[in-house]
Amino acid sequence: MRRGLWAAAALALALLLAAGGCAREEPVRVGSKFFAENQILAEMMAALAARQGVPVEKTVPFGNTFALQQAVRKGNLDLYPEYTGTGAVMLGAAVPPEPEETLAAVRRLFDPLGLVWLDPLGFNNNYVLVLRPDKAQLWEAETIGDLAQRDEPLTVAAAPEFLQRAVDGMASLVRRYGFAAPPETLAVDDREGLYRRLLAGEADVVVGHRTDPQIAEYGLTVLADDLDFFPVYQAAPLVSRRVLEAHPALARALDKLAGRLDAATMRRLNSRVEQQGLAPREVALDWLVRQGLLDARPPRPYQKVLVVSAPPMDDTPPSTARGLEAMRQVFPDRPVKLDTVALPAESLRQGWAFVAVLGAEHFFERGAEGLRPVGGIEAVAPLGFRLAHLLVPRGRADGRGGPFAGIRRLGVGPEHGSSQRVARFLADAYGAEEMELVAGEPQAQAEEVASGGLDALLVMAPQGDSGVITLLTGRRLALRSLGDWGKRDRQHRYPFFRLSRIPAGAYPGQERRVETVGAQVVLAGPRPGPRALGGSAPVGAVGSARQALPDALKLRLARAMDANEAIDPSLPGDNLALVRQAPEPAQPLNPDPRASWLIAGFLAALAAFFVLLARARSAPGPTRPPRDPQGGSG
Amino acid sequence: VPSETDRKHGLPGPRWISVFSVSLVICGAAAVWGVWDPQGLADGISLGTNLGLEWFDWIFLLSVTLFIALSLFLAFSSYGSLKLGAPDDEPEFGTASWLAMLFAAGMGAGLLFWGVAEPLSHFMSPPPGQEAMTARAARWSLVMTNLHWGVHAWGIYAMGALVLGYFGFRRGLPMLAGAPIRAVFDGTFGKVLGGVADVVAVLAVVFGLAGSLGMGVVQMNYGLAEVFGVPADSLAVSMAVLAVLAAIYLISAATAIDKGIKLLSNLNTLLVVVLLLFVLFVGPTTFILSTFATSLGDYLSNLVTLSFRLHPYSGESDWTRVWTLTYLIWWIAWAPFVGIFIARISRGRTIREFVLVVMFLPTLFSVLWFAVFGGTGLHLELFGQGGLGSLVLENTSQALFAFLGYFPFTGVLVGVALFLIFIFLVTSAQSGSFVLGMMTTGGSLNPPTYRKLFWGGVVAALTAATLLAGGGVHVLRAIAVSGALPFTVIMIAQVACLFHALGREGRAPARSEAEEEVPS
Repeated sequence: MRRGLWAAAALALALLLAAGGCAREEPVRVGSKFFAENQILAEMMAALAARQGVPVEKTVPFGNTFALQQAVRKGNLDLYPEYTGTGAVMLGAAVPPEPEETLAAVRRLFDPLGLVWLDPLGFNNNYVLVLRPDKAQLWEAETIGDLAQRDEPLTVAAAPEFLQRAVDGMASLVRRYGFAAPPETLAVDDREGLYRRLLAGEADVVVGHRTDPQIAEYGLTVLADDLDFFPVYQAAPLVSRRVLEAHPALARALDKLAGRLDAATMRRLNSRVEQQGLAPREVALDWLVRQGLLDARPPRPYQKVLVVSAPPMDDTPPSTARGLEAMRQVFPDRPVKLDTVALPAESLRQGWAFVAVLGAEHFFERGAEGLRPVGGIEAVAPLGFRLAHLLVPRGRADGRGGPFAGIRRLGVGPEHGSSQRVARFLADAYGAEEMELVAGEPQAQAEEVASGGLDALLVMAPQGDSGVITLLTGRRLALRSLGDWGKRDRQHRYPFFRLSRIPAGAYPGQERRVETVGAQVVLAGPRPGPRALGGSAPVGAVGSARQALPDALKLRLARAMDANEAIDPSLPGDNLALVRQAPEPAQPLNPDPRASWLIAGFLAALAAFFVLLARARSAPGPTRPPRDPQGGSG
Repeated sequence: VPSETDRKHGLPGPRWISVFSVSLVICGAAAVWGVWDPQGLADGISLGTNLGLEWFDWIFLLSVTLFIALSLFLAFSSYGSLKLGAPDDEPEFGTASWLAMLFAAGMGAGLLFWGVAEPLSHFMSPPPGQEAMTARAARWSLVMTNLHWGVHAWGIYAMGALVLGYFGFRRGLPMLAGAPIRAVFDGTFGKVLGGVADVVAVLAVVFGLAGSLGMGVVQMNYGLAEVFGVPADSLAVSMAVLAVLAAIYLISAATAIDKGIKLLSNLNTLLVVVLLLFVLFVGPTTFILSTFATSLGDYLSNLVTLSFRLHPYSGESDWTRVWTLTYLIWWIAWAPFVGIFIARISRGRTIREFVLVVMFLPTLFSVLWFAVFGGTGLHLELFGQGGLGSLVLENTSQALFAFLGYFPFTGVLVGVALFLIFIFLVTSAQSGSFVLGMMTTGGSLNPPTYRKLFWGGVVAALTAATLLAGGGVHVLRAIAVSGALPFTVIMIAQVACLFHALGREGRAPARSEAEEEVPS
């Protein structure tokens, strides 16, 4: 026993000494840029180096390109993933068009600085100019050159660094292509925010990277660089010669990555960080293990995805992006994912989804006598407002005899979508029950309306929505008014629909104003039924499938969304962010006389008890008790 | 010699009216109502409870604070040297095993359940006047948690146990809630009030037990879902767990495997300590221990303010009502049950020893417990990878299992946690049926087996009925605390009787004990 103890102590001492010996060796300092891809690559390099026994000190993310360049040249940092084109332009060198030549050039240029470019990882991450397909179609733009010829100024959104870069940055781009009207620029820090601006129409064009997953996901158009303005940006490890010599294993470790990553792989990995919200380290380690470059994963942290559910929408509306962004802002440590479901209220109640992005129409369903609330959900904050757009062939736009007169087959967008739901309510409201509602893809359905296969198409969208513009463009379709909504009792029966007017000229070719109705889009949370004894705690929380979001959290979400409008009063929910508490109304002298009676009665009983107690004459002194009154000890 | 009234514990009136029959009728009525109209039962009960909390919040808080103050007074006055038992009685259990049994009584599945969940819950949605997810919220989260699990809880238990222990071991009365009242009041008044006290105590135990069994079963269901992927929130799984549970505790109540249960219970205590040490040393040890020191200090320095605080000016009494007061009545609901247990193991201790140990040692343990579990959770949120706090907001039942997911050997840990919860449920149900048997047979320390089985069956049936009726946990929850409201009044009466009896110590016949220092 004693010998075992000694052995254990000796072993512990040896381990300590070994650890001390390692610690004396200089660690390799690894850094990265701010965006997901660069962080993933840095994490991979650090993990592989650590696997080969090279001590690693990570600072991920470290800074922008300028900061990283300064740090590696000064010797404050040893290794980070860089792109050959960037390396070349950072030294102000002319950039040859061929990838191999660029690599050879940067190797030559960086050699005197004591920095080595290892073999490229296998993909290029060029700058690309991206825009929405409807705008590309509208402006007939396929190349950057096409865009430069437009004489209206564009709004271009890009990362701040792109606006600052001297050789391959915004200013050079404008000069090289000779833009007819100098574009306005908008600096956006994060990648997801960049694309959100583009989708919301706040920017006409964004400068992204070829490996951005958003391009494919949102179906965006990439403009060709017809003047070869941008160099080739091959990703490769940039490492100081000093650490390569100090740690011979480092080069071996990093070479394992050479040529392993193609653009499609990188895009997928980026998407896992930027869209599924996983940590870059997670994604990097996971990939390394799958590739057999790392044998076992270090223990996986508990990563439970927060699901934001939404009904199938007609497009990717800005309100969804806004809701997702708010969730990511409030929960920076959790992966946030969008999930499309047919019954969002049910998914909230069951706890499958944490919150949902819902139009007001999803809070109600058709009952035996008109509408009834679906229950179990409440609005947390408004995200936007959508109008009903009724698209008909241009000749039939005035619609005498009611908005649905002469419409037998109505296209309603995707199955279970918001437009389908609204269409059902509108059909009821106008007594057009015999009208057939046809689900399908909106673009195809617009085509059918034009060709006569459908009589009309209903689309729920914000006013001036680019999706609606795309549907209207080049198809000889027009918007029809829902004119007499205000008559009869419709406003009372469908309280969440609000009268709205689309002014003339909001859409191409729209000459007259169009009367319609609209409904709010909100972020919704669960609202379980009547609470017994307080909502959350302490016994309350046990076992209930889903609790209401606490007020503090609702407030944070509403603030993250900058919610300055109130929730539509027809919807359940509290406007926590807008509440300005006036002094409470004066209460009567005694707000609750029943309580006074009860308390008085209780106190009287208590007093009587004590009077009786004082007069009780029993209680003789202690008696010596039998040890076990009933025998046995139980 | 105790008068004849003290021995008799039936209610006044015909012979068939007894504590047993009256409480049985009330339980049966509640069960039928629960099955017939679960929502109605839950609404009715929670309406009563909510009004009680709204109108009588000051009584709850003041009485509990008063219990603590009176216990301390007894400990430090000359009454402190009185023995629970005859002057020459030696403690029945050694100090070490007495302590172990105290901890076992206090540590239930609740400590496991709320260890991570409660501090994080306060951190994410803090009491009025604090910003969520800040360092300040983290600090206060542990203060509030300690308030709920500390001296207040144990003060209630200590007082409840002290009354029973004093009258039981010093006056030789049966350990019944009504016994102190009958000892002080002669005649019909004592009989009626004592009988009411007996019945209310039985109901508090039955409902408290049924409620927490139900909730425990639902929680097991979540744990099993987490580990084995069985459907969560499923009636079938819950019923299966309840069936296994009921089978085990009924069999153990009926046969000699009683000893096996005791062994399991000891194993449970050991496992809890192992789990605690594991988290302490695998988790952020330094942070945890600093948290322990800080939260202990914060708790002590705020104890007086918090013992009286109800937020009447800001109109924000809701938070206190939902958390603090609900905890208090939860402890009061358990007092007749835990009180008997604590009293039974404390024979031969002096009042001073009893009060100081029962009130402060378990408190110290739970401060450590929450510093370890809650502190690690807070560390994960403040400095680590986070993700736990939002999970607690989403579903509190997941908290413990998710928390264990951050540690190595997750599978083993979750298995251990599930085992612990299950055994805690078995042991509390088993001792619950014992206590009920005892309370309805005039305080017999060896109630007949059929009585124990009968009450075990009633509790299981009540739980099953509420689960089956689809009323869900809110019915169980409402039921579990409903016994506490009237029992608070009973406790006040009991404590008054205790002081009355203490005041008369040594006045009457038994002069032989003059060697004890007793104030006149």
